[in-house]
Order: sequence, then C-alpha cells, then structure tokens
Amino acid sequence: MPENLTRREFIKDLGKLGAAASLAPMVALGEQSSDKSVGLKRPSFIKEVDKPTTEIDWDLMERMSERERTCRRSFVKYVGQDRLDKLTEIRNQNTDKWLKEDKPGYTLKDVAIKSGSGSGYMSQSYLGPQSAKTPEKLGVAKYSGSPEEALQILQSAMRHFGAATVGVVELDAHTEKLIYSQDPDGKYMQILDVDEPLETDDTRVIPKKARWVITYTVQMSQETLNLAPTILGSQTTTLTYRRARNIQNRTQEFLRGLGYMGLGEASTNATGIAPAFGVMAGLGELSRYNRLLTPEYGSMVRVFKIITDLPLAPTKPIDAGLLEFCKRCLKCADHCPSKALSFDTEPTWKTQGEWNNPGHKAFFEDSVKCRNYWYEVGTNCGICFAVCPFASQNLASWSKFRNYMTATVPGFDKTLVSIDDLLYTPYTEFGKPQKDPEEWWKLNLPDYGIDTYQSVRGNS
Amino acid sequence: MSVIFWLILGALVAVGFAYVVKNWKLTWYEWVLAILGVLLILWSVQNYSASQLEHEFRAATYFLVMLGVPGLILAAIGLVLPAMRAKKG
Repeated sequence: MPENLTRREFIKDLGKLGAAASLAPMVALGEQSSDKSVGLKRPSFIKEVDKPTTEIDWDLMERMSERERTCRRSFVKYVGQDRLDKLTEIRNQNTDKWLKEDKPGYTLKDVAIKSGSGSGYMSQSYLGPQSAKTPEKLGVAKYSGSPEEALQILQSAMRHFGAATVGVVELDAHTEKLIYSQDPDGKYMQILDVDEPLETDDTRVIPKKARWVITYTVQMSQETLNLAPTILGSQTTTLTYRRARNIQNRTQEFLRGLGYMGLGEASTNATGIAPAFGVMAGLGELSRYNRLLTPEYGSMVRVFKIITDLPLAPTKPIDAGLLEFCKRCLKCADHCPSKALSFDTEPTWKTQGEWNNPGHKAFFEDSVKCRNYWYEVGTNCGICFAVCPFASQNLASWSKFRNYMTATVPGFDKTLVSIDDLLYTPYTEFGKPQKDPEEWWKLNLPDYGIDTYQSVRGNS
Repeated sequence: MSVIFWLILGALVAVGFAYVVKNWKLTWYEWVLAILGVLLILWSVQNYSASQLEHEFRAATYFLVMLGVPGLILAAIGLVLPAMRAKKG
C-alpha cells in the first residue's frame, strides 16, 4: 500500500477490506496470483510441471490424418454405408418427430436458435484474411518485443477478441507429431524449410521457422450445455465454434499487423490434435472423457490452434489434480448413454480404435459408439461435458474449495464426487437433459451465456 | 455478491462480536464454537446466494442446510451459554 493514499486509492483499499470476509477463505486456500507464467495467472495450488500428467511415449506417436482416421471424417469407414444410411434415417425421423411433438429442447424455437448460432461468422482459412496493414507497409520495423512480452500482448489481444485462456506450445521433433499429417479437407500438412507458408490444391506448407502453436480455449455456456443432448443444449457448441472462427481471423490479422504469420485452422478441427495441444500448453489436463479439462472452466471449453513465427514464451503443462480426480470419478462414463467412455481406474496405452492416436496413456473412448448416439439424438450430445463436476460457473466459493482439494488432497476426490451428485446432478434417465429446456428461455443469462470474469476473478 | 453487501455483513458481525466481548465472558471453547459457527453461516450465505445466481437452486438449498444449520447450531452453543450465564449473573 502506498504511504500517501489518494482518495481513490483509499476507497479502493477500503473496498478490498470489505471484501476480505469473502476472500479470506480463498487466500487461505492459496487462491493467490502467481507469476509462474506470463499472463496465465492461476492459484498457487495449480502447479506448473515439466511433463504433463498424461504419460507420453513420443517414439510411439506418429502424425495422424484427421481425414482418414477420426470418426468425424471417417465414420462411414468404421460403420459401413448401410449402417450410416440407417442412422441418418433414424436421425431425420427422430428430429422430425420431436419437432412436431414440441418435445422440449427440440421445438421450433430450439431449431431456430441453432440456426442462428450457426451463422454470422467470418470464413475460416489457413492464411487468414491477409488484409491488415503490415509494418512494412506502414514504414516501420516489425514488432520486436521479448517472447514474454509478445505472449503478454497476444493473450491480451486474444482475450479481447473472446478467447478464454491462451497458451503456447513450441514445436520440436516431439510436438510436431501433434500436427495432423492430413487436414480434414484432405490437404497434406508439410513442415518445410521455406520462408513463407503455402497452400496448394492438395498441400499446406508450414514454414519450419513458424515454431509456436498458439493454443486457446473458447468458453461454452454451462447453463446451456446442461440441456444436452437436446438441440438447444448443443447450440452452445455451435456458437463457440463460430466465435472461434472470428477469434482466429482477428488473431491472424493481429499477427500480420505485428509483422508475423498466423496459420489458422482451415476448417473445424484442422491443423492438429486440439486436446493434446491444450495439455502441452498447460491449459488443462486430459480427462476421462478424453478431452481437455481446465482448472478455470472445467469441461466448458473448446480448444483451437494458430501457428506463428512470432517468438513466444511457451507455457508449461500443469498439474491441478484433474487427471487424478478423473481416475476416481466416473460421472461422464456413468452418464454416457452410449457407454462410449472408459470405466477403467487408470489410463492405458491401449487405444480403442484407429481414431485414437497411440503414444500416450489415456482413457480412450469408443468414438463409434459415441457418434452412433449423435445420430440417435440428432445432435453432438455433450452429456459427458455437462455432467463433469468441474462444469460449474464457479461463483459459489464451494467451487474454489473443490478445486483446491482436488489439487492438494486426492484422497478427498470420491467425497467431492458424492457431494457433486447431491448438489448438482440428481440423474434420473439416460439421455435426459439435467434441466428443463423450456425454463432456459426464461433465464436472464449473460452475453453468450458465459461469465467472462471466471478466470480473472480470483486473481485480480 | 457485491462488495458493499459483504462490507455491511462484516460490520454487523464485528459489532456483534464487539458486544459479546464487552458484555459476556466466553470460555476458549465457546469462542471456538462461536467463530466456527459464524464462519459456517457466512460460507453458507455466500454459497447460497452464488448458487441462486448460477441457477442451481437445489445446490443453494443444500448449502443452507449443510453449512448453515451446523453453523447456527455451533454459533448458538457458543453464544447462548455465555448469554445465559450473563443473564443469571
């Protein structure tokens, strides 16, 4: 505190004093900002580690083709055309029937809001809009801040554009394996010693000097995804992907304006394995549902990537006790209607199918079962995300206590799961939303249904 | 919840404890029970009101019951006994 307070400083400090009653428990629990990583200010109980909590054998890992191996692109390969035709028929029949029956979550207004969420976005491309004035054009030198400063301004800019958390993975012989060999549209991804990126009819070239993968999360609405697997519930995912496209375009232009390249995802889920980059960038840990689980937003995020030649300070993987928690918590697997998730007590090296990339220990999912169910309900489900105990809005200080206990006392994890069952997830029937979709329309939710203060509230 | 709410609540608690210190004589274990009870009540108030904002009404009720009721009991034991003694004396 300064020796001579101005009136403004005095009032500010008085406010802090008043808030002490509510903040004291959090401070006692280690809820203090940490200077460990630039920009990613987190409570001290979230440890930065040299190796992620997910065990990796880089020798076993190879770059995988998104187009040829993931279920989202190659579902027909795994189930056959006849089965796919049948599933498509089932989907169309179900959604048509539910629409006409006015089934909550599938009514006309729900279908309409899904259409709205899916529109109003910028087009998405590898090279970006390329319209920002470069420093060269402006007659000045390109940005030359230190990697730490560069990360700081990048994080500020990207949060301003709508990103939730932003981390960086430096590409090397290992992490290059997380870049797809082939993008969803079939173009081959090559990393070559060239000066400029290139895109041809069948190839995208990443210059070797573009060593940094900006990895960022975009928040989904927890209150909305509670309505999974309905159309109303799923449209928060749609909206998040559309928002991410805008964030990508803006970041590409920001990087261009600084004098650097920003190589974005040419289409949804392009460039590289999103949860893997999220784990390596320290944005979260790999969960039982085999996606990124974050300390700030739990499961309520989607993960995206942009490659750049702007030198950035890499962010380190973290240990927030989340994977350990997942070993003891079976909620997502229990509630999965298609039983696609692992019930094992430990992650394994053994993959469930070609859609999984070997070389890391995980709770591998049966993507075919999962996607079968998507066709049944006519959406991308999302129940596993919605029932996760960390899928909370974190206003209640109980959530802070839960996060602290998860990170520090693994023996308490099962108790935390039981308490979560009692408080939040009194589940009745498979495939039913946790809340009444009709009630959602009466709520006064914030912009996009998200709380953008979540990650900064405890650290400001 | 707003800072002003906690400022007022903090002031009320402080006034309450100031009254207790001035008028009653508490044993060490009564102090422990009273402070623990008040902390639990404050925690239940925070979780209740925040859960309302989160539209988690079931959780809000449970927080009142699981934290607020034990808090009330502890605070009552810690404060009623000395109050009764003070009345007798």
